[in-house]
Amino acid sequence: MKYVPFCFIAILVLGGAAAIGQVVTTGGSTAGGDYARGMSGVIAAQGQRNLSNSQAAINLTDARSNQIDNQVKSVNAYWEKKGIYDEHQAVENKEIERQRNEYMATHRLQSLTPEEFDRASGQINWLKVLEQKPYDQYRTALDTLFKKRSYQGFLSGDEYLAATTASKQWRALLSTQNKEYPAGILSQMIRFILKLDRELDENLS
Amino acid sequence: MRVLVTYRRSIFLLLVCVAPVLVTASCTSHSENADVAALVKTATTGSGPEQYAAIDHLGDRQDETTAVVPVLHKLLEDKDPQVRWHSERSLGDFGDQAQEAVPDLLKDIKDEDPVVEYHAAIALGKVGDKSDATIDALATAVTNKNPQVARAAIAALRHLRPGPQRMSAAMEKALEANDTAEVVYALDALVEFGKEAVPLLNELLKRPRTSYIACAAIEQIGPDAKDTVPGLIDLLSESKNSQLQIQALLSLARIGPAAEPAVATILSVAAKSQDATVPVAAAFALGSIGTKDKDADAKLREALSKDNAFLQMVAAWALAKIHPDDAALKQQAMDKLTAGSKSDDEAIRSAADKGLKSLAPPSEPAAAQ
Repeated sequence: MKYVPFCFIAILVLGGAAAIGQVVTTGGSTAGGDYARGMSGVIAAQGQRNLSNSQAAINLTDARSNQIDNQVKSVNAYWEKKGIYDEHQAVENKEIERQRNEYMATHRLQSLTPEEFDRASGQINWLKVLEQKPYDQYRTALDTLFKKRSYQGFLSGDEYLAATTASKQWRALLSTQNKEYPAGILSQMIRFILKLDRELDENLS
Repeated sequence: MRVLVTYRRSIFLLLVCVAPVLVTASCTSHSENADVAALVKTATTGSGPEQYAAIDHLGDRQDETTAVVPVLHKLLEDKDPQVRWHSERSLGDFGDQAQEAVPDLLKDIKDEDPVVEYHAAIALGKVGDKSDATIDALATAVTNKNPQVARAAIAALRHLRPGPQRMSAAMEKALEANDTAEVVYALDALVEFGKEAVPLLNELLKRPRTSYIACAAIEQIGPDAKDTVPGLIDLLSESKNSQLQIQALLSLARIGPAAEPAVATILSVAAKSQDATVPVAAAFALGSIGTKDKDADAKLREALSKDNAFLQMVAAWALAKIHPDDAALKQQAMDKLTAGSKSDDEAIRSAADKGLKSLAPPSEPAAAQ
């Protein structure tokens, strides 16, 4: 009988070890998902700044001019959602990105489990490690928006973008904390937030 | 005898380890069946939040497809819109196991309640029905006046991947929407098409309400969008809006060498513009294209002495890119960029840093690829 506790401990340890994955970083998966905007981003921002400072001579007789503002706003939101990596960071991330794609090809991101997220109430059951104080702003924003989604049935466009921004910023912060957590833990933290992202897209992404 | 004792002990240990697992599994299975029956009862006879929660939880019971899907399907006829949309959402969780509900989901996508329409669109995407009826219904829903419904339809279509031709009209409409999130969704879908999106992009470039967005998509797609170069040249020639000109120039820059036919137009636009950033974007485009055009070379060298630090820096960078073997030009670019990295202007500092990095040899991880 003295072997029984040992057997159970062994099962638990083996099961736990299997649950620990590799580090998965953020990044797009579309055709241009890893495109680093680099100097283009700076030039575009400079152009917009000139415009807002009225330094630029814009020909307002151009039929396109009065229809540009909304498009600029949407495109800026698009770049924001994709994450505008600078060129240096993009080069450094390429190898990680390659590893990530390989990993994701065999370990497809699953949806949140009912234990992790109660869709009826919008309650997120966070990993303990994500409940730390430095993450309050992201967690609170996502908690509020998911509960709102549960109540309303869907999020408005602005609410959706606010949620994706909170998620993206949180993942960006976590990806810089690779010295603070073991790789397996950091991977679980990032995967949890990626799963929330997937839930935001109704698990269709 | 000793071997027999060891054998018996092994069997005993195995039973001790396995028996609790088997007993637990048996009990769990029994209680899960009871659980599903209770959920079905609450979902069909309950009311209010308790009923909605039961419907939601049925969506988690994909191990009980035959018992759950017909119940959820039936609930699509309920008078309460909340019951309908919760049921649609849970049906979606069953994926292609919920095909039987497609005809009713197609009715719900034209419901009076936008939340019902939204979840009908999402469920159609998840069920994975690629019939003409479903694709047409979703394409129509992209033009729904409610931006959330339109966004859901785009998401479903992206998931079903019917191809850009079938989505063309719907995408054009979505990209003209006033809702930012809807446009972002549509733009994402457009970029996903990559090369296949080119015919649609050429149409979008002609339209005032979508030309800037089309340029952004082209920038993101990159060299695969090279067949949009004639459209970008026309846009650059016609438009006098500097924002649009800058974005068109950045798109040509991203396309790279295949944008060489645009060089004359780029030079013309840069010469005429009164916006100080347009010549900067033009210089960046010329460098990224790597043009061998002599006029372009001369204009870039001229720009080195213009009273515009940003332009000087990007022109020097472009010349170094165009003449990668010219050590003097490379040194000149490094000097200008290094000076720029100490500028008071944050934009110049940032561009200088990025320019310096792009002139530097690739780092090891990139080289390894």
